Amino acid sequence: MMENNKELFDDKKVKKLLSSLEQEGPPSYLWDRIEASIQAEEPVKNRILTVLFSTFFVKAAVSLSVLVLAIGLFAYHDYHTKQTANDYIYQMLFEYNGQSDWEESFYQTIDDGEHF
Amino acid sequence: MQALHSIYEITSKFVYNVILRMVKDRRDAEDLTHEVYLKIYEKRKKFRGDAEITTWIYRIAVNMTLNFIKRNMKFVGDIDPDTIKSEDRSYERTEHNLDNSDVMMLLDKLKPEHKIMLLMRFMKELSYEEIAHCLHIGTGTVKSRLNRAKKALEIAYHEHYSTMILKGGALK
Repeated sequence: MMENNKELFDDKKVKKLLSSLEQEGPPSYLWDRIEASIQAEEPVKNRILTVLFSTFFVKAAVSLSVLVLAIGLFAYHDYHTKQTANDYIYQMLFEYNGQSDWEESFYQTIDDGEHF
Repeated sequence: MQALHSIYEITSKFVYNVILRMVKDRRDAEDLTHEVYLKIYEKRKKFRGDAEITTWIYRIAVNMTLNFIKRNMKFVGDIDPDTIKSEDRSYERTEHNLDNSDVMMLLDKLKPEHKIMLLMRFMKELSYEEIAHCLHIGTGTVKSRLNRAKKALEIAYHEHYSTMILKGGALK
């Protein structure tokens, strides 16, 4: 049993066996091939990145412009609506009091205590 | 590019040799070595420096080689060291000098994972830790797998020797 478990192929023997393997280097043109492939891939990659980035920035610029325009329009609309409402209220009060200077008549009304 | 060239100068001999021994075809070995270095160039920024750069390169090469074998090679060695029987070990323990083709023949009878283990350990003399890093396995697994690889080589050697005796030939 002991005999069977004994390592017949120890490290030394395996090393000796594998030392018979001839070691050869890669062919000399292989590096040129690798270099050429890398150089051929680089411009394509750069081009793709340029297009992607330019598209990204164009999209970002357009989106930002639309957003600014939308906010501007909303603000203008909001302001205009409020202005119209103010004008309307002013108009109503002006007509109600029948005064040419609404503000003056309003304070005058308060001072007189006419309606309180 | 200059850095890659320096790395190529240092590592390409072993990388090419391992690939050649594994795929057994010069053209495939050249193509695969080419792909390995392109991959190294692509992934150069992902190298974290937690191991030697050569080990990282061998890891890429080993993974790509094993994947290539899995995808393209239908006939690979299949000696299972667990099938060895006690009587199989009764062969003559004489030292025989085997040449390159004999050793290649023996290695071709092994499973790819055993073959690559022996090449890394005994051709390049990588440490257990380096092999573990290359194969992404634990050091304990490396030791046990290496032991099985040696047993498988022993079986292949025995089979080869027996065949030569039966043919009436003699090993050099």
